[in-house]
Amino acid sequence: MDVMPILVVEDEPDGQELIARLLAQVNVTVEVVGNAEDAWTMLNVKPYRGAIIDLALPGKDGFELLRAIRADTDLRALPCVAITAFHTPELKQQALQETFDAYFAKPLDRTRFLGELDRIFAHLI
Amino acid sequence: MTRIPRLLEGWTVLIVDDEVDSLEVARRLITMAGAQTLTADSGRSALELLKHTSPHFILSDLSMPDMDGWELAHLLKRDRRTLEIPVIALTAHAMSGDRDRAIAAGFHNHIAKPLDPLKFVGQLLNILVDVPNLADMIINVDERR
Repeated sequence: MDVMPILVVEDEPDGQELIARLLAQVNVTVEVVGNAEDAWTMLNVKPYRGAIIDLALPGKDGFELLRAIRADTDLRALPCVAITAFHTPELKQQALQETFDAYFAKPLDRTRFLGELDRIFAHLI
Repeated sequence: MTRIPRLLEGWTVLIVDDEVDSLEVARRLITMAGAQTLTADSGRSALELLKHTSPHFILSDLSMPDMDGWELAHLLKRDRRTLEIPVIALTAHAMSGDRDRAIAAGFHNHIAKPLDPLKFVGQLLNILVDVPNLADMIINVDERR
């Protein structure tokens, strides 16, 4: 079966590589873009299983991307996961209030991260 | 959230491809860039459409059932009505020599598949800027921005 990829929106090359490697371990394909504008283009031309979005992106941030997704008739149900290197309890609360499906602080805890993705993306592993 | 720039506003583009996913990616990108799109799933269907319409350019897959892209390009270049319409080949494999083969067969140029959504419209404009009539349209868009 042709399984749709997950879109990773992350500007840091180390972060891109880490997520791609983690998901490759469970045979999940990812496509990576470095900013919200490119993510928006990709989401509008191809189907994705979901998106993993860094909150601090150059230009438009992860929250702006999420709002655009939730406001779009075709994309609003897309599972979206927030990741951040600037964790605070307030930021986590904001991310979940703005309807991210999950929130993870970096460095990512591999077991918890993959476990949650498995739940959100309906049986990833 | 802005999408890609609407650099093809006012253009009409015919896309010919039998692979639904590939055709849909090209159609969405060209639509996002502001153009009207027409689609066909074979060379023969494209020829039917071209009896009634005259797109600014045509994007055509090479390998298709019924009538492939090679034959389509050949027939378009033999017809005075369609002779001047640039046809860009969508090649499944970026093989060296594909471009030369495509140009020898009447294609204006080629773009390799799978398409890169983040580069595709730029690739098109780079190819079309050396077509005199279309270059004027591209320059006018640049001036409007």
